[in-house]
Amino acid sequence: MKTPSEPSQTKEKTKSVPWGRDLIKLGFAAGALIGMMSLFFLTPTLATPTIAAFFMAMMLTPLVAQLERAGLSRTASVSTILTTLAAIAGIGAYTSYALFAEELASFKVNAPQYFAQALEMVRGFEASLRERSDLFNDIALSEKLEAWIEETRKWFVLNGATLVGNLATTVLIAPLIVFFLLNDGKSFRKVLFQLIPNRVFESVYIIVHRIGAGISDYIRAKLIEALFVGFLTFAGLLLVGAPYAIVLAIIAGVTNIVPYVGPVIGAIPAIVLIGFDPQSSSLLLPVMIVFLVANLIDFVLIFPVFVAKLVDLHPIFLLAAVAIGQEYYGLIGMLISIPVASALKVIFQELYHALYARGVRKTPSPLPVAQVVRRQPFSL
Amino acid sequence: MKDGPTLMSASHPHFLWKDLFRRRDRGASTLIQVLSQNILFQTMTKRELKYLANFVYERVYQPGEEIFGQGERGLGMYLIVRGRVSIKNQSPQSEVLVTLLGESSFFGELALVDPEHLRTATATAVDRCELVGFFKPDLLDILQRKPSMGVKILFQLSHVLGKRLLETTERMTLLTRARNLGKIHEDAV
Repeated sequence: MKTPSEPSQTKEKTKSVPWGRDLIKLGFAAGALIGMMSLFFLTPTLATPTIAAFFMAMMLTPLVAQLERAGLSRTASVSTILTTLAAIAGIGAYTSYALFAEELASFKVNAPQYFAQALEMVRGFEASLRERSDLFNDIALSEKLEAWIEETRKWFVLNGATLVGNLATTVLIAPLIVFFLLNDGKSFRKVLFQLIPNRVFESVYIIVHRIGAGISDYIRAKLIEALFVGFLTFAGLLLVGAPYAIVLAIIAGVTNIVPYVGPVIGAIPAIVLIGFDPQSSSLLLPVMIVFLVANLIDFVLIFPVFVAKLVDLHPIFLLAAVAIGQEYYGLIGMLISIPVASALKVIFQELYHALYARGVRKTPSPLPVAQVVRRQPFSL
Repeated sequence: MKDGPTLMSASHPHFLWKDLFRRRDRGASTLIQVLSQNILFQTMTKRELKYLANFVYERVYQPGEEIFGQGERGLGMYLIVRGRVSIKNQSPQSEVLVTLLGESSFFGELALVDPEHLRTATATAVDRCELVGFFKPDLLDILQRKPSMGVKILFQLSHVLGKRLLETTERMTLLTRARNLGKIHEDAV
């Protein structure tokens, strides 16, 4: 401070920095962000590991915070977590491989049989329809199903090696991206903020902070929910003695991440597998009850506790968001629809705040005191 | 605070904004040095300051550029590294220049603790200003990750706010006494 100034009445107006310069700066910031996102999300080799790493980083952030709280540096915290996870994954894969391989081998042997039976049932259904009316003569469900099965089989034969290669790339690259996101995320964000014009800096800061926190909380909550649903389904299937309990529980847990329709999609493989298996068709009703109960517990207990509190949107808007996501981007669209809807809500709230809510103060400003002092000069 | 103004340099009429905590050592070239000279962060170790440097934002303002406006929601405080900042209070009748702040001063710190803080004055860069912004979400993040560090900041912050409150109380007492003396004088006349 050079010299503290005397208070003075002034009519001097604040000069504003030209909007044009700020817009150019904002354009650079948007270009840098979009360019970097395109590099990672549109390059086929990098897209899957980046998305996986993003989800993992969001999930692991609280753990890093806990280790930092315990006194470790950020790099040490991130390294410890990733090393521990790698060890757990290795041990887990080694111990559960036998069980999983057994289920998978049985599935591989029996799956063609199930598909053949399914095809036979569809053919029977078609024939019965044709017997009833000539209107159904043109229906060729079984041919279409057969063609689809054949195409899928060919696709797996042709792309199997690529699929395994992509999986290996993801397993190798994703941990590196997770490390970068967790260790240098703050510094990276800081560099990006340097490109934001002063005029909108605080607004952008709060939007980025709120969206980041919202997405992170949502992903964590959905993964916890998926874990609960997977575990409940596994326990239920074991209890009723259903086959492929692990595979079906994993499918149920993973598909549960998709809002609203996920639980239905998750139940379909189980119903198809058990329904078409002559040895276990008596288990169809108990298995359906298991899925119903697991999803009911999720709906009544897990979702309200972990997820609903985080998404402050009316269910109608959530449904609309999921429908729009599905319409334009399919399964990925459904997955990201709710976080995107929440982010849009935050942006609109902040825009509204910036445009209309300025200056709404609940308590009177303390500053007039300074003016009182000036109006009543005294000396003691 | 070696040679800063004393708490009761009573002739200064702007006790709410007067820079009580300014340090006079100049030449802080790096961000860590700048932070270490601020009263809020002066009790921190070098390691903690290095950690803190990831949570603050360096901003450059041109002469006449508004840093924040009166009535806007406050997110946090700004520390002046270079240049001068004017603090003005606007009312429908007039605009009052409350004070001019210089290098090593800071302003807006109330936003770090006030849940629904709205800026009580407009801050504008007088010269080309280099500022360091420190915001509430980052303070909360530090409190979660490094509680001992967060407590150090909060303790120093409460020290700053306490001193300002003390000064305010003493000023108000002086004002009340002066008003009473004025009344006695008027009655006597």
